[in-house]
Amino acid sequence: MSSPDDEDLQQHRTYLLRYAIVQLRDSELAEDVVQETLLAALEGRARFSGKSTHKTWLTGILKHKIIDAMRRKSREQPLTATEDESEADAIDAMFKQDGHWQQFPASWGNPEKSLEDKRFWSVFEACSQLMPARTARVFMMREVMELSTEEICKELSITPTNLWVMLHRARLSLRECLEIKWFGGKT
Amino acid sequence: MPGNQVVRGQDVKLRMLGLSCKDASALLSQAQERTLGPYERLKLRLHLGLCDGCTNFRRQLEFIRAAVRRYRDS
Repeated sequence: MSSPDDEDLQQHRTYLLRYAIVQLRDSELAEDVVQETLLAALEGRARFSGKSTHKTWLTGILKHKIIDAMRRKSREQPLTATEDESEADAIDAMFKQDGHWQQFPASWGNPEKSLEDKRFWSVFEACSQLMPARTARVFMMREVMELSTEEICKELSITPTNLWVMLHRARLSLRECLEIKWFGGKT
Repeated sequence: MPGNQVVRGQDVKLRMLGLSCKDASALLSQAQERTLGPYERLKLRLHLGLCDGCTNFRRQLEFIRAAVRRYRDS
């Protein structure tokens, strides 16, 4: 593939924007990040190797811009002890005093079938909006950008234990919501 | 189905093993971030053998990971 012009790059704007919004949960910031990405791509287009598609290449640049934005955000709003506690409280709330589940996880049958269902994705989007923005950002760094524990802890100046608690909370909350809103009626 | 919590005798055994559903679910989640130690794996295996809820949770974690990636790549 040849080096892209502005029009080639703009084609991917919608995709990039959605990618950024899901992770940053802040549409204004997402706009900025996508804008920076497209500018950087245009400036650096001579370096486009042609080994990947334009979309993959742009996504690679976007990931770095998102991490930068998250790093800035976490510097402006560092993890406070109260927030840390509220994550642990949210987990506590999903279990009884003796450590049993409040909502015993049900069998979802063959959940992969749902991936083909458009309605599932709107439930999925709604459910991922339920966790606090900070938790969602960390969850997306891990699951969408596939950063390691070490990388995320370094970027956000948090400890692995902090991180694991947040990720666990994110998964529990997503799980519970999907079970109630989607799988509950299916099994 | 809140009715199918582990039956009473198993419940006692689980607590003797020192791993509640809360602990087990945290380990299952951490297993997505790091390699669990041999003792953690053993305790978890014993717990999962007796607990359908946590076994379902393990499967749900795999599904959630796959779903996020599908969402990303769509």
